[in-house]
Amino acid sequence: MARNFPEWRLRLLMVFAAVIVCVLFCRIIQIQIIRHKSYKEIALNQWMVEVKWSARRGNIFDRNGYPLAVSYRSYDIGITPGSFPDTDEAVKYLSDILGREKGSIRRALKRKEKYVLQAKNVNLTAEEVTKLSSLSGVRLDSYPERLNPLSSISPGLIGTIDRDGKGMGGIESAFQEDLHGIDGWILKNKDAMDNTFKFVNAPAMPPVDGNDIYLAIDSRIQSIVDFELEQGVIRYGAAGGIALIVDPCNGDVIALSEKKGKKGKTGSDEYNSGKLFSTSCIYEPGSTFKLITGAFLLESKMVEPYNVFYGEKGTADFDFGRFKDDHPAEWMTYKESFVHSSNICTIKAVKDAEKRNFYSFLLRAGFGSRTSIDLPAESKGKLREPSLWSGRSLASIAIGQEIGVTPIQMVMAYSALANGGMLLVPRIALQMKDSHNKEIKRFPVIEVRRVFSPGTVETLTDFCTDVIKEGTGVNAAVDGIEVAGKTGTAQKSDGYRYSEDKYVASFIGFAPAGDPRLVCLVLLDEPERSYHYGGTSSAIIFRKIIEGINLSTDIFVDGKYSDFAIGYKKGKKTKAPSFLRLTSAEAEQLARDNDVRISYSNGQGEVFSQVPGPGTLIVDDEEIILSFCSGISDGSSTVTVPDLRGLSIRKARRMLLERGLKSRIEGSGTIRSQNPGAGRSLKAGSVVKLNCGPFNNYQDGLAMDRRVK
Amino acid sequence: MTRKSKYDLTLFCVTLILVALGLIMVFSASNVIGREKFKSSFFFMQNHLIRIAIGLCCLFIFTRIPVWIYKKLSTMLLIAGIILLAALFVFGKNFRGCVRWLHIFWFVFQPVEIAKFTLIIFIASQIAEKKKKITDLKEGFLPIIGVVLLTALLVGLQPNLSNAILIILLSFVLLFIGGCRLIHLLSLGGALVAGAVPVLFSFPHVRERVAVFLNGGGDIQGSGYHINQSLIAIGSGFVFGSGPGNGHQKYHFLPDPHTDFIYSIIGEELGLIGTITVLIFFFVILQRAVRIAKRSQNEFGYMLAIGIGVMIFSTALINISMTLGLVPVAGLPLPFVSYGGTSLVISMSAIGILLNISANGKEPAAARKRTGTERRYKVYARPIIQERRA
Repeated sequence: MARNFPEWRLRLLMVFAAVIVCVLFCRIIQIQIIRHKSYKEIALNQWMVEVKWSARRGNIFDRNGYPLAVSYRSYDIGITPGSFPDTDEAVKYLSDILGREKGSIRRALKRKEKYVLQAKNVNLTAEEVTKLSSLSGVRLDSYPERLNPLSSISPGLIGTIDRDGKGMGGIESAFQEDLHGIDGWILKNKDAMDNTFKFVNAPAMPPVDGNDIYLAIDSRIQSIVDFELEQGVIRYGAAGGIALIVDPCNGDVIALSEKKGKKGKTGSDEYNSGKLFSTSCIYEPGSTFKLITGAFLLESKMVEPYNVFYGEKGTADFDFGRFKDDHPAEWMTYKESFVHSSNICTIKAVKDAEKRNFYSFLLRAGFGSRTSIDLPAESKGKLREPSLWSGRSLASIAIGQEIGVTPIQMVMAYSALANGGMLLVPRIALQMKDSHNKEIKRFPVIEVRRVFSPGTVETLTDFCTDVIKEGTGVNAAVDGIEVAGKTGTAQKSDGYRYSEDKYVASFIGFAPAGDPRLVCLVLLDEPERSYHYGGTSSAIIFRKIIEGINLSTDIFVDGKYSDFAIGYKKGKKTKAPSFLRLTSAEAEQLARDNDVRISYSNGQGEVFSQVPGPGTLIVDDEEIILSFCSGISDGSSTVTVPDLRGLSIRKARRMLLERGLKSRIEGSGTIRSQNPGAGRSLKAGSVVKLNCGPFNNYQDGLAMDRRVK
Repeated sequence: MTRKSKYDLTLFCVTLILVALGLIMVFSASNVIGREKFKSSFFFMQNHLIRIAIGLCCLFIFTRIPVWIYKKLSTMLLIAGIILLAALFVFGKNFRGCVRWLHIFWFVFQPVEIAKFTLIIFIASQIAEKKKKITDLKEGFLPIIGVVLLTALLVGLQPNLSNAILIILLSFVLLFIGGCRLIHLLSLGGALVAGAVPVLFSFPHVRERVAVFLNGGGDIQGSGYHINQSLIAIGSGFVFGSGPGNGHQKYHFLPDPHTDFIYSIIGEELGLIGTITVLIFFFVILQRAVRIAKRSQNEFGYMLAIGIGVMIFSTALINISMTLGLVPVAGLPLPFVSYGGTSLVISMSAIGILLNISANGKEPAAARKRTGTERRYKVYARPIIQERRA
């Protein structure tokens, strides 16, 4: 068919079209092949994201496994209604976890929003987290949180964690790397709205969870110390207070408490602020330092306990200045001057000493250097070189002035005295366990050096015992336990001169005096004027702490020592054999074989408890007390629950044990209530729950009366 | 003679493959948006399937309607198309700042697609009718151009500038092929460019898109975002792509992944193989249309076939160029593939008409004599040479 359309135009159109197709073809090659790598990289950056997979932070426990800081994650659960599987199973699962009705979840699913928050701060198990994150359309936002179950403990000791989970202060900071573990990562996809979602077989590096740390702290003793110190700080109107308890045998820090005073005194706000005073604050120790001076004098044989000095009736003018005593005296022996804390006699004894010798002895005793405790920001204290000393310095240092010490340094020096002369590194952590509860590190007892010879130890222990019996520390005496210690009262210095009304009142003592189990320092910062002597405030707190410990725990009883082992005669020691599960006849036979003395009250059935416990060292004339129970093994006989209210925990436990009952104790101090109540019949082997509280004269007195009636 | 079918099966198959590919890619690209907006991954796919069914029905119906009917009805069809366009200004619903969709009962459609198609029918019939007179300025050229400009103006006022430009381009190509004088076309073209460019640039979004285009992507967080994401999608595909359904750009990185930017998703998920295949398929459609035109019995069939071929090819070309960052962002779909009812149904109807023309076309004389083993590409050139000789 003939047409009037010019043919060349159609051909031109086709050529033109072909050229454009070729241009597009080249462009496609350029984009998809030549620039592929750079575009792919941009694309990956857009939709791949490396998400941190946080390691679980390790927990902190006390020496008995009581939790002091526990990690947990709380979750915010939200859903994306568009992508949540609308199946009965998924909705039911979510409703079970959230504890909400299915209807309300279905209503939320019908909403048109992109994200509907379902619950905040939910605690989930690992299984629930896995299941929930596998459901599409569920978004879990988790936050690390730290719970400190023992609320009374000083925040400076445990520390806190910041938003990134990093430890701030205290143990959290000192063991940051161990506690934190190693974070992992996981690659996730994300959309342009920044919603991330996991894809199948995503590359990931699982985290290594942090290690658990077991501290030397004993939470029961810690809570007694916290309570008594707080009461004391309030009672004596102090700006703040510090109490430290250390086991002298191994340097374990059993309790560490710091309390802020109630009143808005200057400096009181610094307590509880997260700063750890026990290791970082520097104070002038005052008379408690005379023990170190005494040790130096005895070690260098410059003085004998019965050397006599003239007390100058309370005021003495030396070449290098005037010194005063609070208790004016005339002639006294060196021992009496120690017991009554005479500055003048101490200075007279020490004034001829070589400065360099005294200085090096102080260095040996651990002053002027850190104790190496595993806590952050420890201070070295302040001990100047002898070349920088003035004429007055030797005398001042000898009575605990012109020297800055930290509470932990003082306690460790006294511990050296209590353990027979060995200076130890204070041990705050006992062991470390990994997330599978396998022990990976045990912190050793580290001996630094021998500081005191046995003779000096014996003499000074005798001095310290007399301080409690007749000296400045009479208020620290505890019924039933012989304690030893030294009071200290130091004027605070404002940089130029000593203040007239600001004092640091301290007391350091150990109990039992014979074979010390605990060394305890109590320090009050700026107590009110009438309580500014260490002997009138700190010593009383010390007494209450030791009393509380004695009432609530068996630490002075079972362990190595009996609570009546007064005196420091070290007889021949033997290991106590185990009498457990023996009949009375067998026990007597065993006692004869091992040449130990035993005593028991109700000789029927099997031995179920012995004091001291099996394997502990006993002095040869010490008696082992056995308790028998007839029905404990078969669990069939019934016993009557005694009235335990008002008794000490130790006594109550013993009474229950004698009847074949077990006890579960909550709190510390004396028994406040019991469950089941007195008079109820129980099967042998049942548990009696005991609620304890601090000793209260009035209530406990009432309870005693009731029992007597 | 034992010819397989009177319809152009290649064209039919290519169309069906593109439609099927479209169905798969619409599902892949839309499931994320569907799930979030309509709580069903299959929402868009189901809708698309319905439109494909309607499109297929139309395709088969149009293969049965004799072509001369369109010629007779061309003026009425054009008027209907223009009325629909005008109706937009009264009944249209505003969406993203434009009035493009008309709602009649349950039907929602874009009148511009219909108007474009009726205009092509009109121009084809006019050229076929006027024959030699088309070279005449007053009788041939101006009346057609007047109608074209009116349609383009109505479309441009929606505003839908890309379609307005496409309409003018399409008309020019048809007039060019139809034998208009070049001097008429060039002078009008020059005048239009001189007059229209300042008008076009008075639209802020045009200015922005052109600026983005000239800056080679421009601000990738702002106005250059579409093109940049499209390039990232295509570029990350490499030779084989990430596989159907495995793309990531549809997770809200690439806007409109199932409509205007479906070619980017094809590039990401099917790679070079997918992009080149689609491009070639559209060229094949043009080529088949030209072939059908040449075999058509009359001038109207000739012009209509070319018009349809150019319409589908140019729309696809502009869409692909846009996703490749070669032209500024324009709201044109990829025929057969993009999600969008009117475009799909009209395109498939147009293919129906093309098939109809092919069925009624004559057999080339040379081909009739030869055996079926001859090579195809030689076939379409021969009859014309023979006709000339005659």
